[in-house]
Amino acid sequence: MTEEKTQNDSKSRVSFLSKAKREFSKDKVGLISLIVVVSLLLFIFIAAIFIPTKDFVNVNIMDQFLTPGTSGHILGTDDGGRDELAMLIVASRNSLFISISFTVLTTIIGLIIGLTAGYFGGGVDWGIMRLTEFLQLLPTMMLVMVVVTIVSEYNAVTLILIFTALSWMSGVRFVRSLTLTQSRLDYVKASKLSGASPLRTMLVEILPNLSSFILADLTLNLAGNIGMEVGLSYLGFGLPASTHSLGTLLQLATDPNNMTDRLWVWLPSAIVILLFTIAIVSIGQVLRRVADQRQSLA
Amino acid sequence: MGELLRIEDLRIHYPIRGGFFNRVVDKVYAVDGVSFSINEGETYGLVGESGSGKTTIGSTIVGLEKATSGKVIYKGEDVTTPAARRKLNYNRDVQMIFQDSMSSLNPRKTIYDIISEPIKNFEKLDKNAEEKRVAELLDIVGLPQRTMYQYPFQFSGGQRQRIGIARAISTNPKLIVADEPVSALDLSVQAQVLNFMKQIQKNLGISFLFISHDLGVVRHMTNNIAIMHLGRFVELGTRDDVFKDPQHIYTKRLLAAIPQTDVAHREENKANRLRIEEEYQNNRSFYYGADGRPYPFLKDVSDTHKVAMNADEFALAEAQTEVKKEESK
Amino acid sequence: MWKLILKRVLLMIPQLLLMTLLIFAIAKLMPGDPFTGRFSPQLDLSELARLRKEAGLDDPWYVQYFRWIGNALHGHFGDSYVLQKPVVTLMGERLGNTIVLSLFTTVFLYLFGIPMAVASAKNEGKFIDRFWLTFNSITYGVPALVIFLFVLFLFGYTLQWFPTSGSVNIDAEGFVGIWLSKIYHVILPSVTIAALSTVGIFTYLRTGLLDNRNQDFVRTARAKGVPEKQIFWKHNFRNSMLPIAQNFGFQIVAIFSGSIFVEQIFNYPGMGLLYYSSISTRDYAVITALMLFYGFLSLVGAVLSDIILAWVDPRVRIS
Repeated sequence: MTEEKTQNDSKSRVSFLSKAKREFSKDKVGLISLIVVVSLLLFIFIAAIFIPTKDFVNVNIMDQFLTPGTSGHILGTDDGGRDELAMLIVASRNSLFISISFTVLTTIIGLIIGLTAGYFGGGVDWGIMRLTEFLQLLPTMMLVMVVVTIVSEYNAVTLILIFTALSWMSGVRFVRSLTLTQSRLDYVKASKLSGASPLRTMLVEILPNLSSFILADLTLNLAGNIGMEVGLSYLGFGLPASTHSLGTLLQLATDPNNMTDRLWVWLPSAIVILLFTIAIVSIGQVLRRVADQRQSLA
Repeated sequence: MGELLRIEDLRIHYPIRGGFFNRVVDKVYAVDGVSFSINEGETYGLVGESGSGKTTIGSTIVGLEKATSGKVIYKGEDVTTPAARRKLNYNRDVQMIFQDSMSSLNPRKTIYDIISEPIKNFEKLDKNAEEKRVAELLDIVGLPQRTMYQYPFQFSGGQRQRIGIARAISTNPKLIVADEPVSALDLSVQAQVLNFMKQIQKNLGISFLFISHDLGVVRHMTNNIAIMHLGRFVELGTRDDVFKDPQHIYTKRLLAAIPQTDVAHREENKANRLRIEEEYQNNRSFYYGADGRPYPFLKDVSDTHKVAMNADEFALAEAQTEVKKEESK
Repeated sequence: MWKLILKRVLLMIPQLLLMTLLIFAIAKLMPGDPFTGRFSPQLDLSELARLRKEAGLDDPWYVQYFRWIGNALHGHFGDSYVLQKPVVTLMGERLGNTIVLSLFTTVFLYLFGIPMAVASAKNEGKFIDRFWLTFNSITYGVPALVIFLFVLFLFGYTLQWFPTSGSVNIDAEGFVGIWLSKIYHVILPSVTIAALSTVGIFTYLRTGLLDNRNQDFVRTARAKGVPEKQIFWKHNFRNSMLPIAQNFGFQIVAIFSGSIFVEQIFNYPGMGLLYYSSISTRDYAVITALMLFYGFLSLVGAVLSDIILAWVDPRVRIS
């Protein structure tokens, strides 16, 4: 009985990396997604460095709406005569940069607050949870739209901060419930008795045990946040007009002529968005299986 | 042997909330007025069924649980409050061994990190000395040096419990609260771990507060025993007091419930059990108050032996039986 | 039960207070005031100052706050300076459209989500199950906006099966004609939103059905010889629907607040489009009123969810 238990344990508790490797090898879609996302990310961030600013800033009405393939524009040009491919790369970089920073920030805030609530419990927990519940009731998207319009110094950084300030709550409940489960385990008590400070117990003892769950959650949230950014920019409340994002490229589709006759001005960005979000979700699902081995395919 | 730790009238009550504004509507009396003391180098046994409050007492002694009232006095110093405990570096001297060896070891940490945690926080040795100390501890608990950088899941239950012991003794504590340290282990491994604990006690002069529901194990380990039921002590005494001359009906019932492999006296044992059960049914009020809980005051049976019962009622009842016997004659 | 509802509604008061304070603060931070729209070369600046003072804009913030709350309670939200109409009238015109759209969306959502989950759970691990799992993970991740565009492109412009904007045909006549035209306009957007939003219902119901399958109450029913069909619908399905029922309030709110995108893309004149256009034109009276409306709605949604939970789950009702 003891022997058998030990073996089961050892099977389920090998390192994160080897578990991830095994899950990805069992899920071909996940593996392809991982390759697609990593190579696209590398391509976009490297290629964006080499695109001169004038390519996506200067407007040249003469070259407006060139069809793909004409005069060296692989994906054609947009309403300002700018090269679609260059625009697409730069816009993707901006969108991804914002979504990723936003996701990382909200995750960190969610971790700090969720760990605190779950670890200390009692009144601290009660207060934090009532506040989060209330804030989650607020219509986030609408508030972001309004706040964006009243902030004077407005750029990518303020956008990320506004975004974060109005939706950091999403991760708190998740981290809190994970922390509560861990806090009931004896190793946390042992750590307290070993003279470790609450901060050390939270960060050194509990946090590593949450990491795989957090990573899976972070990945899945990233997909949702790309959607948020695209949506806001599409409505015109994302980045300032001079900064392009996948959402601002989609805006061109609002014009029925563009939508039906000039597919090249909006379809590529729609496809990039689809590709990224679908791939990220399938990676997130593999990571979730890594975190929670009961769902394992292996 | 001097007194190491004394518990004075300890009470731990949990509020039950409910009603309109989440008011406190009732209380759970997890521990309700318990006093005892542990001497240097001795093993004190705390016995009771699950939910009797024995684990709560253990947790309060190490400082994981807050006392509602009463005192914990360690070497003459009041250590009931967290501030007092911090000032004394109390947990350097008082440590704990947990029941579930798996959950008491962080799966993400190596054995080295687990054992060195208290040393890091309390002793603040340099890296070399710390490593030497961990190696020494592994040696004491009989695990090879190479296990230092392995993870908890790579060990069997018995081995993990030894790692837990190594962590508990790493700062040379004076008292270890062992909360059901072997109940999760197989029988064969239990004896091994128990003997090993005894060995350590002999070599290092540590006191144990041994919490268990298993009278057999407690008999093997302890000098003095307290029997708990529903948050109160029902009987206190030396091992012989409790096992050879049980006074409280609860103790008697516990002892009668120990499975016997003695086939020759099977009928006799059965008769004994029935007799005790009858006594329990007839004389409940000698041992339990109207609220169904044991009486809060302890009557001296001898210098070392105490029992919780209603002294007046007991005497009265005995007199009445005498009278009845007289009448029926 | 009544005590529970009362308690839950009372809990709304501090929430409402906090929310209104927050919205009031945002409203105060917005540049401009009700008289901004009256700027004209003829207007005397001292006259403007007098008007402002008369309207109480120089009072301390708490006085203004309570006056604002009082007005809101009486249904006075001021005038839109862009459209020169009372905000209430404006909202009234749009609210009907949004309600029709949300209602259809809600019906379609449950109509899609529940059978999807049942089919998946009944065929666990088989092709149908894997298909719906994949479908839902895609709809979870993909921004609805992009799908709206594709749907509009395909069914609206290319195939021309559905209208691409508006809420009703101008030449529709008669009660039946107008309503048919209205329904015709909401079908494409509501079906699309519903199809994209099933993930919550699907996941909860599917997991519930699979988990409950091995619960004691289902096994007991089976042991008693209850027919499988009856076990599934009467015992398993009913219990698995509890979380779905409980979530109803939040679901409605999500559909209402989510209407911003769909109304913008399908150019459907509802509350969402009103909000969008008033932000674009900085029509602050409308913005503030709409924020208040949506905020209040989400509080009511949360209360509704809690009451439904108490109503369907005796464990909550009794304790």
